[in-house]
Amino acid sequence: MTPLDFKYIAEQKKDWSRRTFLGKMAQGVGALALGSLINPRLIAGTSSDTWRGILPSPQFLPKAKRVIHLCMAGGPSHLDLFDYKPMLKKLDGQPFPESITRGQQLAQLQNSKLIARGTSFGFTRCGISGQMISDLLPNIQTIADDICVVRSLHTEQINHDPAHAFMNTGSNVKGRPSMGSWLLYGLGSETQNLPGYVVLMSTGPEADQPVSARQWSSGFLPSRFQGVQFQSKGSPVHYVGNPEGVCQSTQRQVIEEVQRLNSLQADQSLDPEVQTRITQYELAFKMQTSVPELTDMRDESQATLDLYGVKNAGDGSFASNCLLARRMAERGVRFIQLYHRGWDHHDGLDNKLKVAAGHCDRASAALIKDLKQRGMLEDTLVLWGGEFGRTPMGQGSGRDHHINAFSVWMAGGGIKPGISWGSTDELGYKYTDDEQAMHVHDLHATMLATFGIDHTKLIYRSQGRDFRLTDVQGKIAHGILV
Amino acid sequence: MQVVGLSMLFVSLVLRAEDIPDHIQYNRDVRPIFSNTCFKCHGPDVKNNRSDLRLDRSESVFRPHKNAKGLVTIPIIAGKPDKSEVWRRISSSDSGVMMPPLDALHQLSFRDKQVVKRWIEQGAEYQAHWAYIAPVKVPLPEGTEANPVDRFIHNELTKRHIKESQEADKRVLLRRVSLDLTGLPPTPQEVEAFLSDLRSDAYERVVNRLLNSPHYGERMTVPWLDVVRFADTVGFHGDQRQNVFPYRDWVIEAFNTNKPYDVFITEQLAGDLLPHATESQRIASGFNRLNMVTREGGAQVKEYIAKYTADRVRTTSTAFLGSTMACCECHDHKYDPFSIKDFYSMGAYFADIKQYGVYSDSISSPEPELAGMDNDSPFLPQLNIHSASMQKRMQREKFKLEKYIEFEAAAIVANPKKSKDMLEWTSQVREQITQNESSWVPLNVKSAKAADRVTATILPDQSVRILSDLDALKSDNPRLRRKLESSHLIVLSPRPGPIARFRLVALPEEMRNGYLSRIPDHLSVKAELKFSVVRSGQEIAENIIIADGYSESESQNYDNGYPVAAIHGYWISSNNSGRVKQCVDYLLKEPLVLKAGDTLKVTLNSPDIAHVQFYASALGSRLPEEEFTDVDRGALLATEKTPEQNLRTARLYFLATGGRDQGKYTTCLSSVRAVAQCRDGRAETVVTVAVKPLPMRILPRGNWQDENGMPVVPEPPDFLTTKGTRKGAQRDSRVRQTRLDLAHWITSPDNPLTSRTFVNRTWRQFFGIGLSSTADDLGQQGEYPSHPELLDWLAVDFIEHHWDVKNLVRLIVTSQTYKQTSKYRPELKEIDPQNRLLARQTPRRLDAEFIRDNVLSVSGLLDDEIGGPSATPYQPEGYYASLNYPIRDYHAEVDERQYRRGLYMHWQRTFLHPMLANFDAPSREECIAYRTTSSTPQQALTLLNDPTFVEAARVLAQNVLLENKSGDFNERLNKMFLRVLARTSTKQEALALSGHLVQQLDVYSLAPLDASKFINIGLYPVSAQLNPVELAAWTSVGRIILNLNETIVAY
Repeated sequence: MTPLDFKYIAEQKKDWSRRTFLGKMAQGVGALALGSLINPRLIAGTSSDTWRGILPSPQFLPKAKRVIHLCMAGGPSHLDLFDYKPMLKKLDGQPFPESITRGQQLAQLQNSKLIARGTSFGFTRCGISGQMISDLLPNIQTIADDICVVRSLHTEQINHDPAHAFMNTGSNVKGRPSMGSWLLYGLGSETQNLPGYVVLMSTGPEADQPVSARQWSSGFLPSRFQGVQFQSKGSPVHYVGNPEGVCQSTQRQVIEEVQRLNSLQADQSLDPEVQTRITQYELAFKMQTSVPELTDMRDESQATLDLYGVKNAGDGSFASNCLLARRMAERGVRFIQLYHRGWDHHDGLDNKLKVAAGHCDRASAALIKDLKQRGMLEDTLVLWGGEFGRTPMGQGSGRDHHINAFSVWMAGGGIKPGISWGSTDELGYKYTDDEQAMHVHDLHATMLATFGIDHTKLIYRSQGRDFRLTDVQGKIAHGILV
Repeated sequence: MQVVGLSMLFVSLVLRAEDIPDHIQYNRDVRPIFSNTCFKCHGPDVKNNRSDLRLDRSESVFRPHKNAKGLVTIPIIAGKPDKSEVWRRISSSDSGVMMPPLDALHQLSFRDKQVVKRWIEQGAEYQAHWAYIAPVKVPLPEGTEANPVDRFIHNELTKRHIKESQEADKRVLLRRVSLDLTGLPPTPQEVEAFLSDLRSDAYERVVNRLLNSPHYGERMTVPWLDVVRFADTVGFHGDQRQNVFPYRDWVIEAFNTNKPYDVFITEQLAGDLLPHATESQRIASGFNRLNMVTREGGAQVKEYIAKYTADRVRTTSTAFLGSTMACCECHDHKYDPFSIKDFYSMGAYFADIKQYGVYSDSISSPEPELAGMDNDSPFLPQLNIHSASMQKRMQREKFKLEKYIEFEAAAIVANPKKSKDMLEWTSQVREQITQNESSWVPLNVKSAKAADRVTATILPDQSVRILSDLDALKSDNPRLRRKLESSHLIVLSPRPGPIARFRLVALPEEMRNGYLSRIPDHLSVKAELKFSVVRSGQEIAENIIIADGYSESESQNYDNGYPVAAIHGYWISSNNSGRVKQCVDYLLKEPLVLKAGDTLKVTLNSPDIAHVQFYASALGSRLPEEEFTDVDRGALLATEKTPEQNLRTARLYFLATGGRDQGKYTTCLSSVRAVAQCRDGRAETVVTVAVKPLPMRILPRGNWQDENGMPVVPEPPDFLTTKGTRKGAQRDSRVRQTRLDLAHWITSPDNPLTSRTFVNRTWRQFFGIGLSSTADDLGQQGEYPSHPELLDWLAVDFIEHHWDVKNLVRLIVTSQTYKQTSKYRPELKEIDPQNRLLARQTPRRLDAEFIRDNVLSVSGLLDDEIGGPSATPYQPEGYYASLNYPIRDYHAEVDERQYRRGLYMHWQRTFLHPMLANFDAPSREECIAYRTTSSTPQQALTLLNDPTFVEAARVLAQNVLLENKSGDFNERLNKMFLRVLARTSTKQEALALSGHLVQQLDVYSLAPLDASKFINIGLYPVSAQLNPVELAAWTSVGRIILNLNETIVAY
């Protein structure tokens, strides 16, 4: 960080205290009501080692404390899962109306003959809310009354790599921070024993589209805010295990000696940074013990394992990762991101959808149920969805990438349960341009709002410009907030 | 600067924020305030300015303006704040009047307002932005200091009555300057030499030694690679490898030979356009190819071309000009006078670069040159070059192989049992050798069955002709044809005897006009062979495993983008092989001995080959290009062998059989592969090739699908062209400018940004922070320099010395300012919390690469080879599991390349090596002018547990123990300290570590198995001379020392 950054952060904090004061007066929200989330050490900065977040106090009443993002990587077909389109079914096999597609960007279908493709799957009206959900997702159907299905989401990037980047950072330019990093920067983490932003990865039967570590990069934010990927092989966090032949007590002693010698040096050089390093070694040692404790799932009951459909706890499957995500949520991890690579269905759509749904449906629903029964759903925001949707036009036996409309669902963390938000035209091609239309920027703005954060105020200066997760856009979907 | 601990610093900043300078300067004091708060609406971005007031230029503010209510006011009346509308607005508390409005993101502080007020009082004098005016050398401030740097620093300190710190201790200074100039610590001998050199210029001599070290270039290259976003992989989607290391080697060489910075820039931007461009200049032009590219199916060419162009403009502006043009991809800059037109005009310079939007064989946008490309293919265009490092490596590998064979041959001769077996082998091969000129024996064809719709004919010379129906070819789908017409089965009846190699010969086919391919107009052929043997009287065939295949001509075999010498899977003949006979030799994984009646089955997969013949040889191969000579023949056939002939026969026997030791045979094969992989000292590298420029137009709001924007031609930014900054004669304005013109414009001595940008970044390298802290933005939002006159003096001096980088570096590191101790001064905590006044040096944590280099060096593991292909050190298992197209393996190096310097580490953009990532190295997707420095638990975990660091601790311990057999604790400990920290240990340190050692000796003598596991981490052999328990305990001591904060910091 440069001094300008320091100065800037100082200014930022000044701005904030002034603004939140004004804001509170205007909204008539008593400061006391927010007390539980305000950390007194935040502004004082008495500790040089732990980051408590840049935001001194929330803008809105915060509901969510953490996010679990179930990223269905590859782009699940909204038309076969959440967006019921009888008209498309009727048109199945016939030319797709050219009036709709003229001048539009397509990925692999560019310049080919466009044929409508209706879904092969049934849809059922579910729960009291009566949301239409595909029979491919029998378990998610049972949580229809807990989730808010958004059908009007749209994005700007049509290829996997940039689309993931857009979903995570709100930009297709590289080097921008992802949403998890923004949250850590804004709010800090609730745990010091585990990384505040964790990524887990699972894969379908075939190696699918790659997912890059830039998706959880902190970009221009300091690297302490970057996501840490837990590995399914070897030690879950890189270098978290002791070297072979080094027992825990030796490791402890080595760290103690390092601390002792560093302190001696601090006395001599008066370098304040040495103290910081000493703290980091302490945290590292804590992490060495808390990570194994976290990933050891032997204390989970058989009923819980069955609920999620976990066969071998810790096998790196989506089900196992969902369970691990709940354990992280319990331990204060701020942002938990699960990628499941298995939703890019250019061909063999019907079969591949069954496989992918088979991997994800039960555990996704289980996670909601489990969080709910533990009283954690109300402050855990769960987001389920991919980086884009798929075309209502067929591509051989599959569907191509589609950015004009796709469906995701959210639950918990201040999101209204059992509602639908936004819609698409009768063929599921484009979102309906009304007040329920939701761009990715709007999704981000809304997610931040559940944390009590005004997305226009969470900013960081890089190369002279103030950046936000929502760029210069973003409107909050107040209608889905509790 | 550490990120943590900032709260403390910011408090002190806020406390001292209220002092206002007596004399207000627009650039230093007012512009930052306006820029941050007012320019958004009253600045260069006129589209977002609802009034016509612009506060960024003086023309507008002194004129009367009509406001929304029709009232005429004057924004600023010099000397009269009370009559100035600007002051009325910013001092108002009326929400309808006040500026900035209540909902604006940035508000003015009390101090800000007072500064503006005083500035108006003093006459509201505007200055052009400091970085956009040509720098001038002011007379040096008064003083006795010889080094100009010290004069400026001293001057500012004296104004504040602060004294410089004293010079750092010699040991500290030597370690600092060695790390700063070479990225490597001083050896104990170098420390000793410096301490005992009492001459007055001892330090200057050290500096010269370091500047002349080849490691200087390596050190200077690291930040440059960040700036140009150099990486070994393409970054998008499958993130495949690209051939690019020769560019990196070029940069190292450029710094080492002190290439003037203007030439350095020119060759990178336009090396290919220089008259009679040399190979080296064309390698340098690879700079233009370092942007991320994609091979993703479904990606659109135009969209990605737009992305590549924007990337190049962002990089060019930040790297060379310290300016941010990124915003102008969509709109005019909000703070600086760059326009959207400037952005695309800059992009137009790069419109002539030969490239592909999407580097894959696509049906929707076919490119003839990309036909047949797959995920293993390279990224064209490339240049096949001579690489000094590959040449050197080849010599070394050949030498290793020769030595190995020599040693084993001598052992065979000396061993009676082996000699006897050798004789037997000789008699078996004698017949083959006698009957054929070479060692190759043609194999008789028993039967040949071609794929469906293809006919195979056995010719009298035992070759096989494979032809397809030409008429059917015309109507067929080529993809389908490849599938259906590929697989042929050929049965051969060989003579009994040993076989070490098979050969496939592709012959020109007369019925196809002498081409190798049976498909008309097809210049290259491909083939994949599978061999099996059917033993006499048996039914079931046994597979014969091929280790490697080698072809004589230049082949086109790639593995995930890299050229590979040994063929796995398909052999593809080179594109110009059209009518020339081709040979491919297949080395067997295990030598085969055939008996009478055995037959060989060959499955030949080839969609195109027209005429083939098969051979076998009993002899093994030294090198792909080396063949059986007359001297060899003489030696083999001689019945009474001279000692020399005997030895030669032993060599041939060993090469063919490994002396009947499969392990040795395999070693030999991999050694042959290592030589072959050096590809005769050649390498491939991406370069710039100029073609007809693509038309370029402004993309409104950056939308690549919008074709309504104005067409643009290559031009420098408007506001910087007017000063006649172009080198040499004015060009004819009708002639299109090129990248060479861009280079000339950037390196023109009166371009105000280029020299400042480089000098500022170089300064940062030696003080941890630039004279302007925003090394990536010298624009209006950047920081006004702490010592503007010094920055300008250095910038001018740099140009006056013909952009002499070493001279600049020498000037900085020989200054007293640089040589000061870095000891923290509590009394300056309030006055100068960031140490910008430089009343001391600043301790700086080493960059990721140098943290690695340092431990490798002090332990004695470092491989100090300069340049060459990137290396793959230990990496956690499964780290690339999320990559695909192709699926990625990671093989850690198994030889000295394991210990290459950090800058040679394989740079995978989407999954950067965790050690690098943990220590803040950037993924190099975008141009990075400086790295942030953080302090995290992951760093501690890396230093504690990464096998590289554990192994280094062990080898450090091992070397110290071997050098000091006496067993004296203090002596050994001091040797360790000297190696790692260039100093001896203190009493307290020694006490603590002796306690630890005793304890660990206890621990490991009770658990000898643990000791053995611990010291066996890593490749480097464990010394058999040492007691494992003692070594383990000392390794633990070594780990502690390598984990000290002091070890990873330059004090």
